[in-house]
Amino acid sequence: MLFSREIRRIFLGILIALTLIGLSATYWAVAGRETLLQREDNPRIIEALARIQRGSIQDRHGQILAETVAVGSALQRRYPAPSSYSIVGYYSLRYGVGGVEAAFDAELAGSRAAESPADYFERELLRQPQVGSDIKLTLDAKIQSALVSAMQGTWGAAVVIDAENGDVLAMTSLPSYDPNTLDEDWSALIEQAGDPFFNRALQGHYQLGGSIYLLWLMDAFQTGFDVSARIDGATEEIELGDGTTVSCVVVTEASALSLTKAFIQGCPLSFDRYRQAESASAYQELILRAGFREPAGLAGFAAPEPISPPAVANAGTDAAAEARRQALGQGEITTSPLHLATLIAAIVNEGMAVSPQILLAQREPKAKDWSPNGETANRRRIMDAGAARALRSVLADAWRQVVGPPIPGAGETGGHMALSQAGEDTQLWLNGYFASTGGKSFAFVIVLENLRQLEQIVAIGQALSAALDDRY
Amino acid sequence: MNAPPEPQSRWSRHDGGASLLLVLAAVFVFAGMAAVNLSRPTRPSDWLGFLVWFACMLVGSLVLNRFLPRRDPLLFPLAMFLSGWGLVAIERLAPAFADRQALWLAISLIAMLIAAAFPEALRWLRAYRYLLLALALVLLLATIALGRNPSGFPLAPRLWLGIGAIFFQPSELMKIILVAFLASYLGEGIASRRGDGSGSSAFQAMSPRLLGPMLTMWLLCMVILVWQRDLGTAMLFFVVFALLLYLASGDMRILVGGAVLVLVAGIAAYRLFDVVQLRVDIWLNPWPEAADRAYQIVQSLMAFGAGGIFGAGPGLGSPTYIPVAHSDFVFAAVAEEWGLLGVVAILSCFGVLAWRGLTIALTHGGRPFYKLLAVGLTMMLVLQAIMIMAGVIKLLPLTGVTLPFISYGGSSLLICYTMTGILLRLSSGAR
Repeated sequence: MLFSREIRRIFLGILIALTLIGLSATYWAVAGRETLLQREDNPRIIEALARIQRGSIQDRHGQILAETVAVGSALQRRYPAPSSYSIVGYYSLRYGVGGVEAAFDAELAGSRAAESPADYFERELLRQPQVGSDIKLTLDAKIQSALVSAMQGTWGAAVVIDAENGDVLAMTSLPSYDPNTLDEDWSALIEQAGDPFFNRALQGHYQLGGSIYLLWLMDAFQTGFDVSARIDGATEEIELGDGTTVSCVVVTEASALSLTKAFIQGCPLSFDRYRQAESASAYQELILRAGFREPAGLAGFAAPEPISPPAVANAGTDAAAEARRQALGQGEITTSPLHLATLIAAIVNEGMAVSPQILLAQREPKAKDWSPNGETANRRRIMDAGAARALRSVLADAWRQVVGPPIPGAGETGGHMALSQAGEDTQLWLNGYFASTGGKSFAFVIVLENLRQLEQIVAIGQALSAALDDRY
Repeated sequence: MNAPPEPQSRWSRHDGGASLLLVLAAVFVFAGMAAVNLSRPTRPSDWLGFLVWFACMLVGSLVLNRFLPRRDPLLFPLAMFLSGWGLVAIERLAPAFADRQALWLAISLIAMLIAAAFPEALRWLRAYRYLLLALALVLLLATIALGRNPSGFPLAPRLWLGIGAIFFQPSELMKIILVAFLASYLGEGIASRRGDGSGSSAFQAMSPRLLGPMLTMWLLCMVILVWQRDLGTAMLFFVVFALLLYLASGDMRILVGGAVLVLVAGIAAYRLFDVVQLRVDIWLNPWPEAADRAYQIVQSLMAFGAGGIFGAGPGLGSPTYIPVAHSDFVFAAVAEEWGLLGVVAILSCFGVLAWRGLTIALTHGGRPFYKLLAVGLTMMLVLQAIMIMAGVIKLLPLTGVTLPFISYGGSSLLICYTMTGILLRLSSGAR
């Protein structure tokens, strides 16, 4: 028949072309699917994120710190507790997540590694929006609020942890930002002095400064050193050889001080003498025992950078100056307020350090009951109980002498002040504890940047102590 | 020499199969429209498109049963099914255009019924081929001076002629007229010599005297289309022309030569036209410019990925990220919401369309004009679909043509239905 062969050939060509299109579509829809969907420039990712009903973040008593609410047909993340902004962080479709929002993003967003068939059915076939879990933090909004109110107008950080179980009751970093208006403020915030997105409490690398005297005093108690022996000229300044001078936090008329008195006044010279009398390896042993070689983090949060081992010091005067700098907390070892708080907690906790944690419980979507955080805190002895009790006693004396008398009828408060320096900047520390009449013990660390006015940090310490006493 | 016998329709009057297919199409379109309307705030007027479609289906079926009872049973249900799916897609992607598309569907159906039921149509196409082609060329030329773009964008191609709010694309009309012209010319000249037993070979049959006028007219069309930068349509015309020439001559060298010419023309166009250069570049590697020049094709591929096998569901995907998805990229939008299953369904529909159209051609024994006309029209529909589907899936460079029956576009729908009407007429025996 006319043309029949050609028509069949044309039809065959058409079938081949349609088959190729089908195979190509299959490739993009099946084999290349994940690659396409995971591309950062896929707007469907943002759209999918916008549909997620993110779980709420609550403090340990159920106060809402972050929640997702419907505004018209859209969902919006709201943060009703200004004092917790810096720790709760932010959730933005444009700028991602930060703080607790980032640390527990998978739980809050409802992303599960293993998905049940029912979840798959709801998500893929019914196209139900993804619903996240609620999380309850160890934070106490009341303590947090008292702390942040007292610290207003300063730059710095503060941490309060439960000495017995490592629960973080309060944590703040200043300056901070308002996550409710993050998208609008972003460009100004990233230019803002003080880097408000940097969580100083968790990620800060501060020089230990006078806080290291805690370790030397601990060593003195453990080795049986006579801490009451007076050392002449203890209030003198010390030149560290790099242009840095360290001096007492509190200056008094008396120049001959015992080691405990030098600790209370934050005077460096006595500890430099003590260090010289000790073996060359004493410093390294102390640092290792206190865990300062390992970064202290919170589960879920990005781990801080590990602290590199000390450089081999050159022989001669440089080596001596370096050894002095290290011994007075101005060497290569740095700390975060959270890390230092675990040391204070160990003092209160009979020498036992507990790893800090911030997640208290989690509630699955549609569930009524909370599931407690299954992770058990790591415990590690860093000093014997006797040394811990002696240190606690010295801290209580220090509080009375430097901060002020304890509140009548209130629990026991202790703490000391210290200075550290980083170049031109000076940090003022208040490291302390509070033991309530109800039997609870808390460790706290407050650091203020570029500030030498003791009154302000004392006021913060007193406000925190009063809040803890009021609550516990 | 005796005239070849009049072909009889191979299909009986029994229309049960076609009716069942139309019922299935109606159920599908209703379900699709319901799903789309349930996924958003809706008004009763959102059902207008479906009602027009349903009315078209009923009227079309009744008129065809009355005037063309012995016809191909699949073509009309297929056209209604695809255009119904297109209406659902447009209602989903660009609701503002859905009513206008429904109006064009009604006009298109009337055109199809006239082409199918009016016996003189085929004779006119053959007898007045020069006049019709000249008229179409004038309209095509008129777009150079008077051309507009319904979008109103100053840089958009001006391929339309408009009166008030009504626009028409003359290159669409040219699809029918050029195929009819080529079929008529080749049928009377080359093909009839091939079939008359005179022993002349294909190349002997293609004498310059015979080919000259035809090539001139065809070349004129191509020049105008290239002038207008309507390169996708120009490419479509060239391929259909090569296929008809191959059909008429039976010589494979025409297809090989045609392929070489396409390649050469492609290279030349790449050097001459920015738009071709862009399309080839983003075809070869769209990823570095995914946010810029290749945004549309990358979003199209993402739509295939997002759809997966089962699709997001009508109204539940995000195909509107693809710019003007309701037009050239409606295939990708369907892939996102209907998944690979929807893609296979559409491919199958065009496969069936090719099968039915070519089968109609085969029924016309020794009548080369009808044969060539059936093949030419079928190829216009199916090759256009292949070009755009292969383009949106990055198998070929983008050509900027519509997906027949499904894409938004009045002129395209009108011509697709008219071609369907002619094919239906041809399937009935075409006396």
